Amino acid sequence: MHGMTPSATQVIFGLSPLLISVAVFAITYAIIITEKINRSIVALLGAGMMVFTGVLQQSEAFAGIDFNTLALLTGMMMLVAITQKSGVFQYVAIVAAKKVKADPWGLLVMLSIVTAVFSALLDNVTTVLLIAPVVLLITDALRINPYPYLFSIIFASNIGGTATLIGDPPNIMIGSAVGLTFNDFLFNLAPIAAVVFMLTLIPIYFIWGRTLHAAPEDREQVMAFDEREAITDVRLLKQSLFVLFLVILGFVFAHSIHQEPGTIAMFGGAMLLLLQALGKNPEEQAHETHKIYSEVEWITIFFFIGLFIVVAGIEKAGALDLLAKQLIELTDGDFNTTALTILWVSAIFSAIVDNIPFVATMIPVIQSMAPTFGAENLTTLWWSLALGACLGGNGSLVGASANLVVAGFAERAGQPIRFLPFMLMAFPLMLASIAVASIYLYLRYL
Amino acid sequence: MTIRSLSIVTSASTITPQATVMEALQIMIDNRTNHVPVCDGECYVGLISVNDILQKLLPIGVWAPHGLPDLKFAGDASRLLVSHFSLLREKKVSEILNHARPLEENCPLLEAALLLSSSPTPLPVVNSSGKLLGMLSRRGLLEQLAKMAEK
Repeated sequence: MHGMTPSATQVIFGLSPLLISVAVFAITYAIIITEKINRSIVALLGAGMMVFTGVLQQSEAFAGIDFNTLALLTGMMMLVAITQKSGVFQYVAIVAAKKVKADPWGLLVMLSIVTAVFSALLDNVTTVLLIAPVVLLITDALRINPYPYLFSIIFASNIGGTATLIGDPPNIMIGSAVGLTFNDFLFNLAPIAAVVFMLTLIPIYFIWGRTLHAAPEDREQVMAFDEREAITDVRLLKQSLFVLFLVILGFVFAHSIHQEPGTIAMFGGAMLLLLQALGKNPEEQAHETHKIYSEVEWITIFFFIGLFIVVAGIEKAGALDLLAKQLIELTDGDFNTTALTILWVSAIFSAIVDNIPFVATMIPVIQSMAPTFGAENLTTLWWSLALGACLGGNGSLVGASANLVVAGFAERAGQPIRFLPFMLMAFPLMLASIAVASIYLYLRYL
Repeated sequence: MTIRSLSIVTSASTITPQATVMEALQIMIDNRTNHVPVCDGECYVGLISVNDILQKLLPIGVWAPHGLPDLKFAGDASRLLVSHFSLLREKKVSEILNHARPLEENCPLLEAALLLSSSPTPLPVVNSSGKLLGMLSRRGLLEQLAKMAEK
């Protein structure tokens, strides 16, 4: 950036930058919500418009991109793309199923725990992509309805993702923008995530759990699964787990070693790529490396890039400051009311629309509340936003990408998860989890 | 040179979309073939092959991205396969047929060779109104080429 502030004449037709930026923002978000055009295309076009209309200069647009978030996402995606080839996820799911002797309710609890833990440490979408096929295989072998299991892994993945910095994109964005560490998230959000997880199992038990039943012969079939056969590559398994362990250790100590999570994840990804490439000829190396890069979800990455620029546009034009002032006025400048409002509004928004654009917009809004509430008090508001945005994803089928992935599997399994029936069950459950989160916020921070 | 002018298309038993999967399989077993063209009246609508049936018997996770790369860990799981088969055999052919793109009767030989080389089954041959004329197999095409080379 060159420290230039745009005068009105720099913006197209001499229009107000505020007006233009809000229009570009509103049109971009409206088209994203319709889901008619791939969201990454819309976000990039919106980003381009912010520059073409003169709201932002290219340098300002680039400065608005949070490369730490992008590096963390890309690095983790690379790590998972390599690790999943070893079959370790299938291994863990089968061990979990056998631990409870393939008892249907025990199985539901175990698979939910496995999903929640993986979701806390990896991306939610990847977790359900890896777990859902095994879940379907096991319920198939047990000849029981997969629906309760798929419903539970949706909830488990979103709740598990809430627990850590790297579990869910909203947390990655918040942590990166505000400088909250892996440990901050772990100490502040993991306890409530664990409570919400356990409480969620209670209604699931009463709705489905107590009626689940599998024939003894079918359970034997699952008990005959050999988890060791699921491991396809022992060398790869050891390498992947070693690097994943180092990366998570890196996150824990990131603050003390003065490093950002993005660097750690990227370095881990590169290290695992190196271990994979060792001993192979250049052609094989190029082939393998290319394959891993191609498994990175570029749609998500470009979506983020576009959104960051669109949000930078309205932020620079002053729209978010206005929004923040309005919000403070609405809550009479009362801190407790603001914290709870952010939680509930985030939850309801995130249930209906993608939580990533919502959080991208809310981060600068909350940042500009610092003069009113004091910078040191903002941390509580970050937890409100994170809890609302992550848990809110459970409210409907479109609330989180992981939900849609599971729905895709269910459809193929001939047990489609329909929008309304899912929401009738999921939305009240989500609201209950937000009520629990409100109590937690109130008791611990307010 | 088109495939029509070569008379290398062989006739085939057909089945209707409303027939059951078991009926289709029985035709394949009786005729010792791996596929049956599906016709509504004389009109070609698709193809059902042993492969289509086999794929539907496997757990869905196998076909998903990042799905189950192999199933050795699941043991022989014959109960699972048999139970899937019992459900599948009652289904209608229309539910699992594949819409293999048919060859037009005036399709040039080279194009036919290209399409066949990437198809797991022989390909149906239709006339301009969509009526099924028969099937063209890879072996049938090679046999014709061998004859032509001898001349």
